Amino acid sequence: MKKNLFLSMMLMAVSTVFVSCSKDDSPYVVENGTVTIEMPINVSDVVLTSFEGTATNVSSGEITNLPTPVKSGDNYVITIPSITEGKYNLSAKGNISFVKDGVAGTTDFEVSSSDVALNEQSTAVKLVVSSFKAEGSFVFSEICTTGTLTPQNKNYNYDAYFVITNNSDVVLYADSVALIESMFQSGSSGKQDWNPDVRPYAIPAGAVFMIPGSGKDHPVAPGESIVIANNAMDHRTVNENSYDLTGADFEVYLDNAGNSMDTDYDTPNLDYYFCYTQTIWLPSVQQNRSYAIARIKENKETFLANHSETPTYTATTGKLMESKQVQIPNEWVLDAVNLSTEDDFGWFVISETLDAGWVAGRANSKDTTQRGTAIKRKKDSTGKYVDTNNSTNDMEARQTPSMKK
Amino acid sequence: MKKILTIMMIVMAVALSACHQDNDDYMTQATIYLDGGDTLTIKRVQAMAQITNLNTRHVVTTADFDGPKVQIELLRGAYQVNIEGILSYTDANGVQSLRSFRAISDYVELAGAGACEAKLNIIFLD
Amino acid sequence: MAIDTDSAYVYRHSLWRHTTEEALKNPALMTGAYLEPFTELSLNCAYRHQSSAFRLEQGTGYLIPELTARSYIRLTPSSVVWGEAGYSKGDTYNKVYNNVADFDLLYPDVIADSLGGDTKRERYLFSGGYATEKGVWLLGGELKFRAEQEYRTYDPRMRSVVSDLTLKAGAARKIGGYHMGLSFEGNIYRQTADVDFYGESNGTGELQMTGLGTSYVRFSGSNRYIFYEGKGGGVTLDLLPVSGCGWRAHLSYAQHQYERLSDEYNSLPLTTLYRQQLGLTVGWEQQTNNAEKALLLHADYDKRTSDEHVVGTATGQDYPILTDLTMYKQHHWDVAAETLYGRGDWHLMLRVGYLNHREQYVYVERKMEYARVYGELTAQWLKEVSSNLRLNLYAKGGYAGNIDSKIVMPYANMTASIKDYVNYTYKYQKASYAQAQTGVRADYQPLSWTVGVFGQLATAWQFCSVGEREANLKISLGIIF
Repeated sequence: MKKNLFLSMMLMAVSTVFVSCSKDDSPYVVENGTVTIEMPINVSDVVLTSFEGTATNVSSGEITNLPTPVKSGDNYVITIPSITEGKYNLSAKGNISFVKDGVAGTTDFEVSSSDVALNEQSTAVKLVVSSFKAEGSFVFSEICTTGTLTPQNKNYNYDAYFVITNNSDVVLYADSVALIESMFQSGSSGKQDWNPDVRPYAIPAGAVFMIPGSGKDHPVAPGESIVIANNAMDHRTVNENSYDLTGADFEVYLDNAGNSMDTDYDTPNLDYYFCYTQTIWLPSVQQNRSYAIARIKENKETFLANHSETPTYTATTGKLMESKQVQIPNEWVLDAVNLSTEDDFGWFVISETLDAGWVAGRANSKDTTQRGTAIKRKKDSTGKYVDTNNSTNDMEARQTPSMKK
Repeated sequence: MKKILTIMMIVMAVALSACHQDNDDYMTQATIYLDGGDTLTIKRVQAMAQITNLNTRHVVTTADFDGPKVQIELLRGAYQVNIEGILSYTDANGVQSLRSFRAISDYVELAGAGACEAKLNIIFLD
Repeated sequence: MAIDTDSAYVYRHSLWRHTTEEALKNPALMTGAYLEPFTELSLNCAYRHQSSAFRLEQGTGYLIPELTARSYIRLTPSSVVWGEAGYSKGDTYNKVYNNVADFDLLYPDVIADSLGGDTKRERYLFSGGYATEKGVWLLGGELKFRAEQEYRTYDPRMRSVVSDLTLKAGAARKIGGYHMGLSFEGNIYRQTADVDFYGESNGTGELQMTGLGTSYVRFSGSNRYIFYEGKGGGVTLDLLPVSGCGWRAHLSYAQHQYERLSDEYNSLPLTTLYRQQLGLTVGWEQQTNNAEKALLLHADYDKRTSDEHVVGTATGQDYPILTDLTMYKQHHWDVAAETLYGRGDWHLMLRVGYLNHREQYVYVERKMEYARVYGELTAQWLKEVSSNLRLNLYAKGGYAGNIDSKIVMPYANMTASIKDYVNYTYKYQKASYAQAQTGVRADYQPLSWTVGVFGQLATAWQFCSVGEREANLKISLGIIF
């Protein structure tokens, strides 16, 4: 009896050993799990040009490389053939190209999400690329049209240049960006009752010169600039006080078959779309015209056919005055700056929605002290250019020209 | 003998019933709403929400927005929520706009058992 | 007299005492604890050295001299009084991730850092009890008090002060050939734990640990003054044969809680540790003229959980508690069978068992589990060399082999130092251990002396399968009368 008891007790003890042993289930494998990469909705034509992604299992540290995403609607979807269930740290980086406000751009992106569960119940995960702000665009960072004085105190007007800077965080392409000069001048004498008054919907333009290119020929990195010179030569050879513009990216050349008196220097030319003069163009030394940059969305023939209205007004003499010009739709405009003499601001020659203020490039029509200076855009504390669409706030006159050596 | 046994059983039962129960209600289904004010109707939100537990500093991220709200299962507690991205909305006049926004809160209580909610105000960045 | 003294000596030192150890937790049963009264004064020194810490938090060893006095006195034929007092002051070496005293009691809810170091420990112990026999009833009560101080004399300067009070009351009744006992115990515990940095550049943050390497991040860092408030109670039920032949059963249940509060945040409770211990022993023993044998089956369950108090935002000095979540859970099972056999001067004890330990942190999930099967064999020889000199020699060998282990950790989200800490702990948890112990005690008392002297020398070794080992040495010298 005692022996049996003894044995049964031992059996009881031994059986608890086996009961307490736990059995491990083999982990569930998720088949065809998806990671959706959502592209930013505030830009269009987004194309993923390069991609690298990993999923790191938080417990085991095992790294799975994510296969290339496939476009699905507006987004890109990665299908992972099979992955062990668990928590994962996802990280993806690559490069996308897109179109924003008509301007093509590219940017690198990097997104990550930690502790994402991939298991039987949760097989689809989303990552959002909105980590870059597609804010900002090309802006005028410098307008230098004041001309210079020779050592003999004579006026020298051929050395005008413009600096256009990429004020965003992404690579933008300068192809099809045009330099525009307003047809009208801002003094009170320039103010007339033109009919139609195109300003609410377009810039009445007297000169339009466009950066050529197929769309991706001229990338400008964030913070980098393009210099457009009227004449890309070393002006110091003829005027000590002037600048060396041979380093400009583009120059203006009136290519109008024979009538031009302009010299074609080595620097690539802007495409000539329109100019009020057929011989030689001189940007406003008087500092009373507005300048703008815009993205031209049509080819030359179509543009000239669609945007060549001729406003008129009747002079006090009774004569019908015409303005032979082209119009640049306001929606195409990337940046605009109104210039005026300090003593005589008569009217806004372009829509106030493009520029609500103006910068005084010159004190009065007799002033020569502004020669050899430039108008520059202010920078904020982060190093970006200030662009409130108001040149009174945004621009400063009488600055040292950046091309001055 | 029997009486004593019964007494002892009762004593043990009392002792065992005074056992501390584990507090097992760990998770809550949190819904975070973006509030643009009375005039705005938010249509679509594209943003990454970063939710940091104030006590453990554990960060959970999600981009699963359904209109102006996002739902996520969280450990009950107090959180800091940081949402930044783009949203599209129609205003009182029916005009549709697409703008960058940010919605932050340094302290959101997401501790209700089962489900809980929070509302964050939107600040437009442009 | 010699025979009586001899029986008393044997009764006091024999391995057979192991069968009644658990029952003697009931103060009422102390009436039969010893055959003869005695008082023992001794000076001990305990030494341990591990080649590499088996548990980081407990350090690589200690050297602790101690002065103890123990007494068991029969006031009347039916009542006894017993007591113990002790004072020890010693050093512990290389404790890391543990800046509190009583780590075994309070883990994982401790304040810790990765620097650690040696500590000095001072302890006062006092306990006293009284038991009496009234007809078929036995009644008893006991009080135990411990005051302890542990501190470090260089950065990070930890300093813990402990006071631990336990009160027990018990009763037993003689029924047939058995004693049936019931006792209750209540405990109050306090500890203040501070960590200071005297060197400006040494000011690393202190972590409020919450289990398996996690910490309460929001209140870790500059929060260096915490205190613990603990309370608890327990109940035991015993059945034992009066004569030494028959069934034996012991059932005990205890529940304790220890709340960790922060001094700097207006006594904000950060975590509360709950501990439930359940023990069951069932067995059979038999004593005859020349032999005694016993078979005991043990099952012990220890559940330890830690509730984190989720704190909201402060309004002024008040921090609201949003909810309590049981984030840490630990279950520990130890199931074993013991057989004892004694004949003449020899005793043999074999213990075979299974131990299962599971720890879990709920979110983000962490787990550490291991299971071992173990066996221990102890042999004892109680020899009366002459009428003046008695020897107690023993040797023990044992092996605990690991049969299962598991770890789940969010390694990708852990810092390097915590990763190392967790992996080190797991390495030793899933290892196998071999142990060997031996010791001798000599009691010398010529008939003409009223006071006897004794000396004890014991050594114990543990060998870990990871390649490290532990050596223990204990020396005692004392008088007994």
